[in-house]
Amino acid sequence: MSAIWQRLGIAPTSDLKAIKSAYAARLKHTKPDDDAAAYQALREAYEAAKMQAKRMVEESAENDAPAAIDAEQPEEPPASWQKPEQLPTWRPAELAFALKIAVEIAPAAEEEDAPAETIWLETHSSEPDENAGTIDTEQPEELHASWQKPEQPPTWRAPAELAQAFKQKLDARDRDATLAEWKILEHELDNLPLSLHDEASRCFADAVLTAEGSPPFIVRHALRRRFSWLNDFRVSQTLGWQRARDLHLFFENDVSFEPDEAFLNRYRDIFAFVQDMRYLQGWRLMLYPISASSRVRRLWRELEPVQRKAMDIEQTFQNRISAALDGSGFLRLVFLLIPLVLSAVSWGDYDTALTLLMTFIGGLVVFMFHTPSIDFRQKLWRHRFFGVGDGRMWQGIPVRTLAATACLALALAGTVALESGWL
Amino acid sequence: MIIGIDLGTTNSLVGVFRDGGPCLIPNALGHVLTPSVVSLADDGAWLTGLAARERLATHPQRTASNFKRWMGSDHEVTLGNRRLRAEELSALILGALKADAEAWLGEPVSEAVITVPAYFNDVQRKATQTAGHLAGLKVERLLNEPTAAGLAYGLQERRDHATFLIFDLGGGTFDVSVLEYFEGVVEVRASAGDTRLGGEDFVVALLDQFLRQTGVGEAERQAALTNKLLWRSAEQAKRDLSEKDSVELALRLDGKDISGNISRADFEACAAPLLQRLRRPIERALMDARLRPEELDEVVLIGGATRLPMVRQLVTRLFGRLPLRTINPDEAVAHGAAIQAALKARDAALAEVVLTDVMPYSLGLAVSEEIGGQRHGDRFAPIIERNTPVPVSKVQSFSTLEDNQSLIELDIRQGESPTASENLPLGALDVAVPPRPKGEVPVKVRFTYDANGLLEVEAHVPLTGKTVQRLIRRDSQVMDEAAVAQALEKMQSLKIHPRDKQENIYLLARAKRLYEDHLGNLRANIGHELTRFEMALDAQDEHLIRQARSEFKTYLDSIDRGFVL
Repeated sequence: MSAIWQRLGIAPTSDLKAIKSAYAARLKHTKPDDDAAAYQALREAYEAAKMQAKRMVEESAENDAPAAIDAEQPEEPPASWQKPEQLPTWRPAELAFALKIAVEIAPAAEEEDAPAETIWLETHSSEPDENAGTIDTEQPEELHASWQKPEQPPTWRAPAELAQAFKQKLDARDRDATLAEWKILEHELDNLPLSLHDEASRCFADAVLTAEGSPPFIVRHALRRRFSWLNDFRVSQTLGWQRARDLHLFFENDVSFEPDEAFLNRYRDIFAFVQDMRYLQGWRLMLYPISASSRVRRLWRELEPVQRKAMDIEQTFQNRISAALDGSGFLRLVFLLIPLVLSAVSWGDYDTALTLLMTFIGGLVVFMFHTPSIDFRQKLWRHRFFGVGDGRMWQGIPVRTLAATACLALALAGTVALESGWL
Repeated sequence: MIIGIDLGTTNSLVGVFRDGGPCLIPNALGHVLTPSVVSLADDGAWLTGLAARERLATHPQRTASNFKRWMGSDHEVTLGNRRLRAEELSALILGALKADAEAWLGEPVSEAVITVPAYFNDVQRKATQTAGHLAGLKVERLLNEPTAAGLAYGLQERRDHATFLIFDLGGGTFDVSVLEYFEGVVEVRASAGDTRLGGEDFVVALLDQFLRQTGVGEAERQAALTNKLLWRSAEQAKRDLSEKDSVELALRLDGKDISGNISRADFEACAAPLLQRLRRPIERALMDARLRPEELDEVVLIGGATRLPMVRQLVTRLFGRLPLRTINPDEAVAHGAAIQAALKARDAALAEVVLTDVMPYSLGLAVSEEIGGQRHGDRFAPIIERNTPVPVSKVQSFSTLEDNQSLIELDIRQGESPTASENLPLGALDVAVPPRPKGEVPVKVRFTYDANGLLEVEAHVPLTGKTVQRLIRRDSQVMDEAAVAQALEKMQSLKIHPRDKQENIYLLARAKRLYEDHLGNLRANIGHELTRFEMALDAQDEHLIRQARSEFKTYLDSIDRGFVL
């Protein structure tokens, strides 16, 4: 602990300004460009000192003035922090400039009468209207004041209120009502000021986690995207660790996907295919995927795990279908080649048969190593063995198709060459 | 002398630090803004800047713009019979800026600080460095654009202990940075952004909306959106809508004339999704800086697209206050670049100034985690988390997952998703480990990120005492040394139009564009004036040319209201 303060060259203090001064003084001899390691150490000490100072202030506030400060301003940062109410001292030039912007913005307010199709305009106009109303060069103080407290007349509902409305619809398990409510809520969320964003994220997370019913698929994923619940590893900072983990589990086990009409239509083939697969057993199960068209394979790959789960396909069965579909192309080729090989053999020409067989095996080898579901170690091995990229370069190219066609062409050419006695 | 360059999507600028302050350098036409447009002239020489931009309309097949968006990708632009990468096109612009600086300073320039969007990834940064190299510039530093603007703003205001947010919406990129200034220290607290969102997207939205309104078919509309000819009119309409409530727009599409009105409300409606995309980076930057919006002292808007009223309204609404714009939104970044160049050159006037920046994205490894006996693959383990101050070096320990595993494959990724495969792969490193039961072989992985944005990865296996170290292997999208050498040769063989003829070329290109734009008498008149000017040029009398040029320029200004930038 003392090492931090030693590095900054000051005694432990809760005065943030003193910490910054000490850091600034040291930094001028420890520039990031000159000595990266020393800078990193100094910067870490500085950050740690700031944290400690903050904690000290909090502790002393708790001990010394138990109720007074806390009760009045529970949300305010400690006193030694920059006080927002003191800092914005507007100089005349700035004020004039700001006025100019205010005037520029003002016309938007007049558009209130225009048929505003967007919520953007509707909700927005109320606020500049405020400003526009107070624009009067004789009363700059008043204008100033209206900027300082723009949140005085809230034009939005509190996030907790929004989340409450949302949860009510969820609890009622009324899908259509939830969807309708969401349309409204979405616009309201768009118009929340930034300072309420984190709170909204928390409130809606709680609503999703505690409600009786699960939100419809579209809403669930709109929420997820809006608040970056899953694609930012730092989201636990705003949500709290427990909530973030619960959400993660919620979406991981997210099976309540209600397929809509369009979805059912698009994936009708998949439903039929999966249904068939369930009835089959043994060798029939192995051979059946050969009948699957490439369309089925493509559609299957489109589906997200969530959606597959929602179609009541359990994980192990999912894997089996994936494997079967991946293998089906290969199996088809086998069936294609069998008559060829047989005909060659039946002509009594064993050389031809051997050529075909070897080509076939060659094709098989190429095939084995281009299964898309291959894991990374195999990719690496292939990389070493064949010296081809890192596996990514093959994506998007129907390599297997190309390889199979090439093998087939070779086999045919071999047959023709042998038959006509060129070889 | 190190110069500072703002290499923008739409316009580029160059500046130097002189007499204790940053100073922008005018180009051959006397403008500080040089459009980032490259065109292949009919005689096979390369044109850049305004002259090239005039040719966007008349020679769209031989002209390239907005290529910064392709930076760090393998996309090639075809101009006439040449194919060029974004690096090479940018190098042409950088070369022109270098020539301007040399002419102005009267001394050769070989080093530069170039700005990049804060959210440019590793690959895109490398590409920018390559572009500088191709232009014959040693890139001393890649500086984040909002940081540059913040540096310029912070030093201009010098308000102690001020925290401010820079909202930088340029032609093609969007960045947000939170900075603090105290006692000569300009400290970037956090940066976030979207590299594919900018003013150009608003133009596309406007054009799309207009074509929808006028009932143009789906297929034609898609084709029209990439049509450079329509671009100019749409851009002009966008600008006009900042002042007027509705504008008249007339376009010629496939020989048909389409005209109609577009109102500001319509424009705002179709741009609403774009505005929504502006929110997320702001939220993220504030979250990472651990600040609440009220704690900001100021919100500073830079970038040309922040002139749009709707963008300013969004900022006003989000922060509950009016944004300040006491700096020129187009020039702030170039000023900052010039200041950074001076810092790099240790200018005495800036001895007391220190800039500290952060890395805007996270770097880490793809790993598998075991939680309660269940294994979860494809997880992202960040080693350097985003918005960590740079330069930085961090170590984290990992261990084997299988019994007798002999190799650990370090899959290095950049991004924010907890799912590794959603993040950008940067490269891989193989580490041989002694076969032991799983979990008993620790590997210490060290990521070092220097101030120039180069990442170095080092893996140490304490059991064997071996260290594997290698500068990160680049993607195929990055030009390797051989490709750079080849491109360098290619660049040297390119013919660049001489700088002192720039103005003439520009006026000719502009006249030709106006000629095509207009009909009837006016067209004949322009043609006449054009011939007169060409004759004056042929006379090769410098005095005569100067006089004709000034007359010709006045004449052209009278036609297109002097619309330049």
